[in-house]
Parts: sequence; structure tokens; C-alpha cells
Amino acid sequence: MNKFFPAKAIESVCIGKNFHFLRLTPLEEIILPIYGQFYMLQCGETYDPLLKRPFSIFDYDATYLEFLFRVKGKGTSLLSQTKKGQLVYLLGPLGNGYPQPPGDFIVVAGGIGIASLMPLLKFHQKRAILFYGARNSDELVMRDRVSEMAKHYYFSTDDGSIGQQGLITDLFFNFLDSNGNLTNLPVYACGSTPMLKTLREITEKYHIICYASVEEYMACGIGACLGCVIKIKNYDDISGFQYSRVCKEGPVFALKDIFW
Amino acid sequence: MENVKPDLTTKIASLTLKNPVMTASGTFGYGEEYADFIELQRLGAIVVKGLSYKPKKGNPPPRLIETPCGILNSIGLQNIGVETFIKEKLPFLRNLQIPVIVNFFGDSISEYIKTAEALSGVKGIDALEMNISCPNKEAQWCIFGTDARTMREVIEAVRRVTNLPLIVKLTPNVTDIALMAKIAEDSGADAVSLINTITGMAVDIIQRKPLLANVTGGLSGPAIRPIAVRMVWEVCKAIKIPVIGMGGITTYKDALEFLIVGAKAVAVGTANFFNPRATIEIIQGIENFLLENNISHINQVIGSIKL
Repeated sequence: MNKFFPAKAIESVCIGKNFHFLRLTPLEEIILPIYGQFYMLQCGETYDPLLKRPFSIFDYDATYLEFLFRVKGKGTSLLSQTKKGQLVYLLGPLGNGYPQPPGDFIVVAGGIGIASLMPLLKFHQKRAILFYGARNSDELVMRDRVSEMAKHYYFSTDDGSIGQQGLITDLFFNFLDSNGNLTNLPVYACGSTPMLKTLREITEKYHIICYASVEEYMACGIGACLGCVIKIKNYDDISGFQYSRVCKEGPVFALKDIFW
Repeated sequence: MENVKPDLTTKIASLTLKNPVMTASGTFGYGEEYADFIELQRLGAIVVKGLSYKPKKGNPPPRLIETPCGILNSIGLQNIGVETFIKEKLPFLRNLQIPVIVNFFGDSISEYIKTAEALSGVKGIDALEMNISCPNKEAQWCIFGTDARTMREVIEAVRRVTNLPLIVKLTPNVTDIALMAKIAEDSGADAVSLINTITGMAVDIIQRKPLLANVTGGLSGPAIRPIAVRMVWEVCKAIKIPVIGMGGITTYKDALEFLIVGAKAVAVGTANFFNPRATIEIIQGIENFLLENNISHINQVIGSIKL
């Protein structure tokens, strides 16, 4: 079984203005991922862009791999032009993934962060309380597909076009305030750094365990380049932190361990 | 003519490589990172991530950014240090039965000496590659390898404390690379390798800030290859010791350019990041090229440039 393999695009569709969905069939037998792991996908066939791009696995089984991503720069724009039937080269599964939830759990997703959390919802149907926020209803992408897997779900948008107007972390905080009995559930999160920072304040206040998937520029994805490091607390070091590789020790870290 | 498997054997000082393809330091970790993707035993040699005597934390992120056909990085020489390397990484490398070349550096001459001494006489280390593209804290943090006098001093100092084959890795950020190569040769180097990354900078035009936390970084990848080929050619003409060529090698054709201008071996760097099988594909490609062109030995390619 190979971790570097070609796959054929069997579905490649734009979702709204800014997102793209890709469903691939691996042409070789693959190693099944665990939720929260990621793949490096080749974007285009030239040296520009040079590097593969990292994407969390959105959904999978032994016969397909799905990716949902925001079209943001040169690489993602090229990848979004993938035609049905076209070959895409992938490297993966990579990274550590989320720990298995012990029972019910909470999911907090900011925008496209939902892509990384989807497999948790899928493989633990009706076990998660989902908080999913984005700028507007267009960016609350795939909300029907993900919310039907949750036990309960809550949406928020910055403009109020769907769900509650405001930040998802505010919605989550208010929810905890009125459901004190749920503060024993672990939280799984993926979203922007400001979202994760606010989430840390909330989860620390309530002493809730929170696992967060983070993102960094990455060259190799396999731990060799040391390009994707973030600061992780380490009290044995005089500075109080160490650098850990997002691709290897991550992308999932205990939120309390991140050194901000 | 009979299709006999061509001989790819090449020599770097006292090392015999079964083929001329090695890895470039800093792009291949300690080897084990690539074990999932290739048969490491097939490599000509393995060059590990640069070591300092003590572990080094490296630079704050962002540490790398992509530029057209290249990468700009300022990892800051993060590494686990000599002791941990010998204890935890070397046993795996030793088992591969291919030459293991350890890249190392220091921020002062005494650090270089200490590190070279600690790496010498250790079973499983076959050669040292000396990174001189780093700052010297005893001389206003100027780069060892860009100042002829300091460069001579540090190479001579290391030469005195090790019997291992000593490869000096040259920085391209100099006016006359051939002159620097000559100094390395005169100072006791057994071989030189080049080029290290070219110093560059990229700017976020909205924030008006550098894209790397360290402001500047080293450029690598296909973007720098023609510069590297030119420099390797200039160096090959100037010195007698073997030259290891590198800089943007991505395919076997790129590797052949370096060999033709005179490099005895090549190193594959940034390509490992986007194609973890690059080294093996390049070895296979060179072999096929020789076969198709009825060339029986790689030596017939090395230095065969027609001017």
C-alpha cells in the first residue's frame, strides 16, 4: 500500500463563488485515513506552483476520498479546474488526526474548518452537538450534509443571513452558560486563529478539553522540511515553548498546549 | 550493441557511491521520513539535516513561502543536536548500508571544532559536510563562507580535528565562487558541494511586511538551477577535488546537466518536498539515459561538456 498515489476525479464541482468539492477514486490500494488527517494534493502540472497543498480529508471510504476547500490562491484555483476523469496525485494520509471521542462531543467549526471535522460527525452519527459559523449563508458550505449527522446543530453567520447573527464562539459560550451539564463533553474545533483563541478562553473557563486542527504553510507534509512549525508549550525549555511540526505532531493539538 | 547495465559508480574522496545521486541536507530529514516512499538503500548516499553540537530551536514561523518555481525558507537550522542524532537516528541510517554523510555547522570556530570532533570516529558516519553559510558570532555575525579569511580559518580548524572525508558546502552568495572553492581546496577540503540556497526576500504588498518572519531566506528549487549549473561549471574548472552539484535538480535531465559540466555526484533537495520519490526516479532516469545512448560508465558523462 502506497502513501503517494494517483487518483481519478469522479466529481469536481464549484460550490458557490469560493469553494470547491472534489471526489477522487484512488487507482491503487490505499491506507485508510483517520479523521482529522490530511493529504497533500498536486495542483497543476508545472513547477508553478511547485508544492503540493495540504487539505483535510472531508469524507472517505476504501473506494473514494473527498476534499472540500476554499479557492484562495494559485494552487487551489488550479485544483478547482480539475476535470472529471483527470488524474490527481496525492500524498497521504498524513498527520495525527483527532482522538476518538469517548461518547457525545461538541464540534465547533469556523468556515471551511468544517472540512476537517466532517469525518468525526460521519463516523459518530447523532453524537455531536455541532456549532458551525461563517461569514454568510453562502460560506456556510455543505451545512445540510453535515448537520444531518449531528445530534443537535446551531448555525451562526456574521450577517445573520442564516442562523444567529454573530460569531460562532459567542453562540457556543451562551449555550454553555445555559447548559452547564454539557461542560463535560470534549470539544473538537477547526477554524481561524482568532476563533481558536476565543475558544481557548471559553474552554479554559469551563475546564473543557478541546482539540483543534491548525494550519500552516507546508512544503513536504512528511516532517522533513520543518517549515510548518507552530509554538507548543514546553515548560522544560527556558522560553516556555518548543516548535512542533503541524504535519507530523499535528495538525491536531490540545488547544491548551498551543503557545500564543 | 549489447544492452549491458551501465555502471553508475562514482567516487567522492575515499567514498564510493553506487550511483551519483544523493540527498541535499535539510530536505531529507534523517532519512526515516522518506522510508514510506522509497527504498533508501538505492541512494548513492544520504546527507542528513545539518547538526549543531547542541540542539537548535530554529526561527519563528512563517518559515517558508513559495515563490515562482521555488521556495524561500528560513528554517533557522533547527536540529536535534549531535548527541541525540547519534543515539536516536544513526542506528537506522547505519543499517541502510549506504554512505552516510553528516552535515554540520557552528556559530563560532570553536563550535565547529567541537561538533566535528564529536562526529568523528563514530561508527556509521562516513563523511562530513561542512555548512559554512551560517553567521559567525565572533565576527559581527558575518557569514563564514563569504569571507575568504574566515572561511580558510574555519576549514583548516576542522581539518585538523577529523580524518573523515571533509566536504565543504559553498554558499552562492559570493562574487567569485571559483575563488572560494579554491580556498576550500587549499584549506584541506576533500570535496566541495554547491550551491547552498541563494539569499532572497518576498514581501506582502498589503501588509507591507516581509513574508518570512526572519525577513530574508534561502531560495531553492527549479528557479535557481541555471545559476547552480553555471557555478558548478566554474568551480569544476578551478579545482581538482571532486565537486557535488546541486540546486533545483528535479529530473534526471537536470542531474545530467550538473554531471556534464563536471560534478562527480549530485544532490536532490527541494524536489523531495513535492515528489518524495524524486531521487529514485532520477537514478532510474540516468541509468536509462546511459543505456539508450550506449554509454557504459557514468565517468563518460562527467565533465564531458563540449565548448
